[in-house]
Amino acid sequence: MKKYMKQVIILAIFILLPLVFNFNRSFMTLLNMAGIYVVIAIGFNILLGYAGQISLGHAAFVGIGAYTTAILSTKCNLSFILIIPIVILISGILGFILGLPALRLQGNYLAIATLGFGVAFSHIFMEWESVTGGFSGIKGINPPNLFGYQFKTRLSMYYFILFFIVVSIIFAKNLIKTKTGRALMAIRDSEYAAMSLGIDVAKYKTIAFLISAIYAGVAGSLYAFLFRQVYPNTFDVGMSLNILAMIVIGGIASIEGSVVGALFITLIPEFLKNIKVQNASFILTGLLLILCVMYFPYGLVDIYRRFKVWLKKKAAVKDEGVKV
Amino acid sequence: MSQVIVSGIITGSLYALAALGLVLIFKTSDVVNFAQGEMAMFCTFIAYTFMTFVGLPYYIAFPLTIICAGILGVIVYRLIIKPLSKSNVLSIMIATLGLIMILNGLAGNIFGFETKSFPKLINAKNINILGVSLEPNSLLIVLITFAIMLSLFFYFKTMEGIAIRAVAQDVDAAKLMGISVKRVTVTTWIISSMLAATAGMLIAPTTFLDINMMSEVHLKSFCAAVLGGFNTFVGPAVGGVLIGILENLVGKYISLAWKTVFAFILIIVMLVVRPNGLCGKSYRRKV
Repeated sequence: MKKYMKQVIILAIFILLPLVFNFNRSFMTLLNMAGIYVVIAIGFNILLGYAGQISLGHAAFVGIGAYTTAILSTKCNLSFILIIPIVILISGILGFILGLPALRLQGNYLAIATLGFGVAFSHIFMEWESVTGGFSGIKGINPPNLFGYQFKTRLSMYYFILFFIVVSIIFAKNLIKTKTGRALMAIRDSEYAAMSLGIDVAKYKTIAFLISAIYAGVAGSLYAFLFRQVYPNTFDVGMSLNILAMIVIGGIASIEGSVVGALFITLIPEFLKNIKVQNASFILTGLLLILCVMYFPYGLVDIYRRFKVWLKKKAAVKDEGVKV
Repeated sequence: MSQVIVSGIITGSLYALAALGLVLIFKTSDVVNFAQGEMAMFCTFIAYTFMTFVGLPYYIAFPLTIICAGILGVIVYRLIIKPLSKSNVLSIMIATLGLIMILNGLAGNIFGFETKSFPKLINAKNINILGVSLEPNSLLIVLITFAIMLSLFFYFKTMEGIAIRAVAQDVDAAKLMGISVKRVTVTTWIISSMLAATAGMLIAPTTFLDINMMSEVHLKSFCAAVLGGFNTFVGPAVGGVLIGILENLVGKYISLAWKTVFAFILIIVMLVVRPNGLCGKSYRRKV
């Protein structure tokens, strides 16, 4: 029990947070949005941070999750307990398909291919009017219903999303420790070394795409349930760039980093509201991206880690000083 | 039919123009500059400022902007690319993605978010050649694209150009031959930034000038480069014109709404089947 004390305390803080502070509705919406991005970022970190494969089209999976949910909820009246497995299945299949070009492409080329995938899907959401409703989107999605309780308010959705975040963190943390997680990291560090150790590179790359697509799909489903309407221009290249920025700024190859990054990027516009410069958060994100790549390749979490090491060193020096 | 093909060639040459700078940088330093489109947009705004606020005529504003673009290229190289030259491909790519956000945000704040109209190179009546109606401005764009490509072709025959090609092939061997790799890379960034500015100023009259003017063309220029081959200079021209024609044919005979989707699905297929493109040679990968 003591081992998980820290995690339990953090979880308790997040459970109590909205109860203690009684945030207004718009800030709750923002927090919920941040929560959804946390789920996406964790999945994306498995792909980029642990497996070393880039994707600039992840918004497509979020969109697919959101649209699948919207269609199943409005046209078939399904409950969310059925919708989420279907979303997992569909986004998993599409993640598998996107994983196929990744088997042959690396670095720059993979980035362009996934960018193409993302743009193609954002156009499909706009143009396939009979299914996606075109520019007017889909409205009137039913709120999730659990044993007669409707998750209608922002507060209830907060806990609904928090549940998914906890599940995603536990799954990701455990995945990293398994054979799959180690294989992914080996592929990231050197594909050829991994190959020569007998790791089935094709299989594990596909798995990485599949898992991160499922994370994004589920997050898309949460998005649809939160706003109860979906529009095509939400899921564009800008969203994919934001997802990338989250984990680069938060911390690559770190689950905590994904959480910090997602919260940071989503909440930052709120804090920069009073600055006269328009799009200030956008410029700051870009600047931070470049600075992180240059000076903090492991993101904000790494600053904290370095600070801890520095404190320890200082303490050690002090101890020795006493001895002498 | 021939009208469709001709207008395809015209849009295609715009894509090719935008793709040339992209390919130039990729070939010499193995960096895909995702911010190429935003650099073009930024330079076009500079040209617009020269013309409206300073009141310069087009033919003076154009070369002045090209010089500014060169300076922008040096700044980008000095501040972002050079400090990262030792890091891996992904880091540099992410940095250029960050540059998109910075340039896009800054442009909106400096030059305004509203859409402006940018003057054409020449204003003249459409001419008719063999039943195909042509706008002289578009014709000029095609000519400029080919002129730039030709001059690049001859530039790469000069000593300077040979140095660039040597760096593109093998950085270490080039260094041993006494080539200053740093200077060569700076030169390519300057040239590609100038190409971006030219592309931006020629494209602006057709798309109107605002901070998102390049997003569509920039993405299509990727298609052009991928289709033709990312590591050749002929590639983007062939790819650009092909994409332009195919897109227009799809738009005319199948569906206008789906032509963009078609272009992107085409490049994904292309990347999987032939990553080096139609004109590209395949290189053995170094381990």
